[in-house]
Amino acid sequence: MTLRELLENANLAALGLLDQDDQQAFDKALAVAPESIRRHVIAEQARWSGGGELLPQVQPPEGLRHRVIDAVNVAIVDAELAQADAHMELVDTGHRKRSGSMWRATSLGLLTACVVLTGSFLYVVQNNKTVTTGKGNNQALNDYVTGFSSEFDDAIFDPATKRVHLTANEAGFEGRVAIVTHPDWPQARVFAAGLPANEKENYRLVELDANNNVVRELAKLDGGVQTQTTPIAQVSAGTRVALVVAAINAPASMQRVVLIGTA
Amino acid sequence: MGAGRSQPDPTRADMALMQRVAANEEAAIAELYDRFGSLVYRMAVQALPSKTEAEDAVQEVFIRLWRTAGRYDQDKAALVTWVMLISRRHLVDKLRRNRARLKATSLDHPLSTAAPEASQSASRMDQDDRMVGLMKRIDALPELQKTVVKRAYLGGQTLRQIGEELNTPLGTIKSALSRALVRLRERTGEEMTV
Repeated sequence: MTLRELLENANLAALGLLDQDDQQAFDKALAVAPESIRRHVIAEQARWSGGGELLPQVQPPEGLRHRVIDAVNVAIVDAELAQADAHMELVDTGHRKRSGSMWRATSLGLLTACVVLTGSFLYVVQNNKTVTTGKGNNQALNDYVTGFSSEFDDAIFDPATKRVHLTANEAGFEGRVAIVTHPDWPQARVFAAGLPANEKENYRLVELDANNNVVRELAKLDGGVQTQTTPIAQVSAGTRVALVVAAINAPASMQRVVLIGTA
Repeated sequence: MGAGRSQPDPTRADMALMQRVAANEEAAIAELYDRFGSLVYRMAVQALPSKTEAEDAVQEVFIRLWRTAGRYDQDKAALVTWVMLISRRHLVDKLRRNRARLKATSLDHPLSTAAPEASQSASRMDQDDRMVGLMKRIDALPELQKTVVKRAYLGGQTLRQIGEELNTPLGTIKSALSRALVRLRERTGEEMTV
């Protein structure tokens, strides 16, 4: 690509309009262009990309910011768990032929612990910025392992396990709740992290009908604790579940839905 | 003299931001959204048939930005350009998937060779008063420039595809699009300053 072509294509590249191979040729030419040209092109492209003169003048809806952040957080957790699953499978397959059952069980146990640590740590890092010490992480791990008891293996590794992350329904609410279900478990589990401390209000996990009326209470959750894992009644697929807060002893109509999702 | 020293280097700040995004830092993801959420949303609204789809696409774009954050290089592009590229690629992928679905489900109604999204996008933009002027300016462009803008910029077709369909060399298509965009941008700027 000549220098002239580089300059001519700068706006097309900035707007993502070049075909993939042309874009690669553009990137290569830009990388070897003289420093002054490179700076000029990068600045010019930024002007093209950021100006938005050719875009409609609309503003994103208010709740979109929270939905975006939640969606990325869910993707982060899913990626970590998938990575852990793949690692687990790889190690399991590699050792199967030559390992005795005892050794294999020990290896799996250790790996499970590592994965749980990773998963729990991730939740804690995302959901409670104050957790930076090893003590805090150990506490989160203990909560997680204790909460899932003999089922924590399924919770982490079994593809039949379904995790539903409730998403923010109220701006600024930072706590997180996930409902974990498995077809073989007698009860579902709710995993909550970073629910803000709140002495005057309480948190309730509830099932909602289509008109946002509370059908039943699934659990009471505590604010001000890093993480908590609580067994709850099974929730069938498609059920709307919400975390609501209300002043203690306030009528049901006064409650606010802070997180919401569909099982 | 001292002022230059105290000003933060924006490209370094951008790089640091993307490193924090790659490290799964929620505050960094929020900052990225605060800076570029509006731009991405406007692109999505322009490209997709409904606001609901646009909102879904914005979430998907930010997931893609998180996944690719580790690859961002300040020496190759400004962050806004990177965001624009990732967003456009995602939106174009979405448009092409929609087009494939449309082809699969409407065998009785053969598609015209022009990208359906272009006219769809154009008609939707007609509803936005502020974009009526842009659509008029696009219609006032020379024929080839108008066709290329509608198919590539609004319709998400590749330049090679357009060249083949119009039986026109790729270089000509690129020049036409580039000139059209410069012209549109200049005229938009003129109108905004009037």
